[in-house]
Amino acid sequence: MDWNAVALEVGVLALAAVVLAVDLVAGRGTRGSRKSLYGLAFLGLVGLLAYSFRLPAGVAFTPALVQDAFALFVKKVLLAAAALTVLATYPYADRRGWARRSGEFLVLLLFATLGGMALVSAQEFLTLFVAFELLSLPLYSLAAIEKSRPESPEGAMKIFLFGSVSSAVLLLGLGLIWAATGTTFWHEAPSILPHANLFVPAIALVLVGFGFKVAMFPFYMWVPDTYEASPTPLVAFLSVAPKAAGIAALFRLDFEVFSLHAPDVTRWIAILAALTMISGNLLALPQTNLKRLLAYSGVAQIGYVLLALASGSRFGAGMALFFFVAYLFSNMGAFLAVAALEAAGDEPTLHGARNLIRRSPVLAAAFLAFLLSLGGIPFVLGFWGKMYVFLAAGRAGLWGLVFLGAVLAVVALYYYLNVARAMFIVRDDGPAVAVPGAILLAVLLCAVLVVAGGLVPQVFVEPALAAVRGF
Amino acid sequence: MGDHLLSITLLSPLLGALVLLFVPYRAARTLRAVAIASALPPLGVAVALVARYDLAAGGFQFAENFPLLPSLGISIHLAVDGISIALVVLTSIIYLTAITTTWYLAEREKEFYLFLALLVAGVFGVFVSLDLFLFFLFYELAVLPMYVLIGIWGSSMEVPGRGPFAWTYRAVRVGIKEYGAMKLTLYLLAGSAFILVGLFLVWVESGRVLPQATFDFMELQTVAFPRGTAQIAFLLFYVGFGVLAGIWPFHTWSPDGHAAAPAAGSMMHAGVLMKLGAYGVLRVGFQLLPEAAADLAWLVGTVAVVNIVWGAMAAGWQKDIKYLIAYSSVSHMGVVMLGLATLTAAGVQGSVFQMVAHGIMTALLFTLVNLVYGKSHVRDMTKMGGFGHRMPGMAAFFVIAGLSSLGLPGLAGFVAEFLVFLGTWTSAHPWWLFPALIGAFVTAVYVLRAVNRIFLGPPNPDFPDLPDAHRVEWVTLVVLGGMLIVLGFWPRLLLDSIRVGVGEFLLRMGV
Repeated sequence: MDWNAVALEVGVLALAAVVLAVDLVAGRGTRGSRKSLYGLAFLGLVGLLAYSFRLPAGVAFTPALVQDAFALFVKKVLLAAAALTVLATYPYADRRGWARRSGEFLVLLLFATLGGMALVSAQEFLTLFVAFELLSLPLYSLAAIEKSRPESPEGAMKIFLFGSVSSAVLLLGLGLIWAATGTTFWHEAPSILPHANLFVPAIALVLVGFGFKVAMFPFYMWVPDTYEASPTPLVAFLSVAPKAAGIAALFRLDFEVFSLHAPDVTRWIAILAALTMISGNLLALPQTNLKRLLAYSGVAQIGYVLLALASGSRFGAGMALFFFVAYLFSNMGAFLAVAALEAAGDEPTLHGARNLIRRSPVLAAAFLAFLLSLGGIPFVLGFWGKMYVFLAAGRAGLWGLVFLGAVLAVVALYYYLNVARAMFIVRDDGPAVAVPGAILLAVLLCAVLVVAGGLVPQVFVEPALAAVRGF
Repeated sequence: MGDHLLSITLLSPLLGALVLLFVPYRAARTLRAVAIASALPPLGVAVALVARYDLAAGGFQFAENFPLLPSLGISIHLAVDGISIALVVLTSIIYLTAITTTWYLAEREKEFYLFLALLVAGVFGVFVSLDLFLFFLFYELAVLPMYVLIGIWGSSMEVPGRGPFAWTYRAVRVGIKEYGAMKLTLYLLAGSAFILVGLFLVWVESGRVLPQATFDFMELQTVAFPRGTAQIAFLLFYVGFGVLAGIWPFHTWSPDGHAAAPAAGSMMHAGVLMKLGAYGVLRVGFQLLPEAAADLAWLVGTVAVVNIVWGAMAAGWQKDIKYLIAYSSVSHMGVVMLGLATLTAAGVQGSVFQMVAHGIMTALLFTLVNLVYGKSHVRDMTKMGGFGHRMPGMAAFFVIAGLSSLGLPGLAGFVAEFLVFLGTWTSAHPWWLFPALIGAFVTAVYVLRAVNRIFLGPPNPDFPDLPDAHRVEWVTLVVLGGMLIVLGFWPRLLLDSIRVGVGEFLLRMGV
């Protein structure tokens, strides 16, 4: 029992408890107290992130909860996502009139982060499921936190219904695996199974369960509606953290369970990857609402990660980790830039972003960097992410998928460039955009990392490759 | 080693772009000065390269090499041979004249010069990179800024919308600059998707033979690829780079994009970027995969003659002067690809020389039609006429460029076309020559008719006060027109180094 293995989880839990206590004690009155609450949570998360670099990898708290290098890497991604969200939320909440609920927001967000972190550490099916639920439940409530807006309950209801069904399906799948192996510890499963034929439906159900969470084909219907209706900084978190944790857990399950008993599973994943890429990219084409556009583009991005999963190799896993770093900063950056627009009183649409280069040059330039990164254009981080995923898939001989992905990346460029066109080419004088300082700071942080990471990708690639050496 | 000529070429436009970022919008004079300052070092380097290239030693010279991502076999490996030197010279000239031709732009100059500099950095990068991954990165960098250049500073034509499909033209807004910009970008990036897959294929295959998979061109040359894989890779490269070189039937982005682009945009794009595609086919397609290229040269050559005839016919059909020049580029790029496909010394030399000659000529033509448009605000040739009275200087340069285009001896275009046709006659498919000659004939028809319609005839009462070219604009015309004449009378200036490069190319091809 090594406490290092759960040090981050304990830290986040303690932080949540402190935030809850301070929120209770300090009352809900003043702006200053709310602001300091966000500051406290942000500093705590940054501190934990810094601390995580000093933690040893490959330590077990219990056999059910092991922090290997892979898990540690994903936890850093989750912590960074949470920290950026906390940083950008206060001005947004303040302007949209739900700053009173800051305490709930922060505590729920921290719990969701905790769930994601436990999910990637889990080595046992029940732990996995509990972590999965801990990641999901706070997000259902968070999606409804802007409850005074009429569309908010609709979005929250969608994520709740789809999410709870997916949990049930996942539980059924895990149950079938238990029935096949006779143990909930997957490392203890015998290599020759008495009921091996149960494995095929079991894996299908687990894939469906995670499919809702990470928004893969055909379980992405809730994504655009929920994204559109939820507060944007939360959407930034929602679009990265559950997906990173879910995909990481899928990688672990694939390597440690599925591929041992049902080697065909990579072929299914390859088909899912293709369909996810196709549907995400095509559905994003006609969108004019930036949040819906980014929602579908996020679906497409998940398709690319699944491509790495389909390669079934350690290299592919490393590249997926790297892809998630790229996706974290580009996608969160893009959503936070939209949040900045909304906080300044514009609609999150192509029209709202018109002529942004004149109205807020810094925001426009940063947004452009995110779009190029999501589109996979060289010299920004996202290009390397895509390229490495393609390399991994090429090594596994999936040339058809690489070709499909490369062509769809061009399709994707159409809708990303449409946003760029609105920002840079449309000449329509709108009012200057006053971006709140905290959001601007978060956006710039992402932008700097996207651009710098594009110039020296080794900084992220080498740790990502090191993190999968254990597999 | 020892000097960093190639890094200077690369860094100077990048540095220019960086400095431009910090110059305020209103300081137009400073902006132009910075742009020009970033264009001069590459020009100096180009001269130094021509002068200092060791013809006796041959091969790739001025090499600079340091690792970037060793675990993936990616390094910054820069070097030039006789072929790429000619193209570096071309690029540095076009860059300078592209700036001088937009001297009086007066609209968002800062961003304009910035994106132009980025584009040029990409072009230089492609021509001097020996690492194929770096090559690809620069290729993308060269393609993207055009979207902004066309989208912001481009011009739209009034779509007439005739014929049974007129409604589709109106529906997709053909002829509108945003349409042209998006079409160009998506076509070229679809091409680069092909290239990327081809590169990865080559990379993975090299890992089976070499101790470490690599993108380094010199190392990849030592790999004997399996024939089937090599043919697939060759086709991927041919189609991918071919889109940018305007090969039929993937050429349609070129007229729409070039006609919508601002002067400097079309100059860079038709003058240099289309050569990037041809250079990619030559370097990555032919030189890397010689056997597959020899197997498929019949395809390249046949498509090339379709290009020549199709482009010329389409150009003859146009009333819009910008579309006319754009289609003539499609036709002339066919000559480039035809020369390459002959796999003869004369043909390939002609092909490379045509890249330079056509680059300069088409840049001159585009700058002229943009000047004519800028002063008359008309792009429809049938509404012009008699402009020669008002703008005699521009008429003279248009005639020079036009005559080079139709291959009049004494101008650069003649040398190139003569060599290509000579090579075609001695190649394995001499019949290519006949459609090519038909194309040359049609070129003469539409060029002379364009001169007639725009500049000849009595003074036009609709345009009472047309000015001739204005101060700095002359620099563009004189430099480009002068180069056409110089290369026409003294082709050895570039042909010597081209000959060395082509000699090695053919040795590699086993001819």
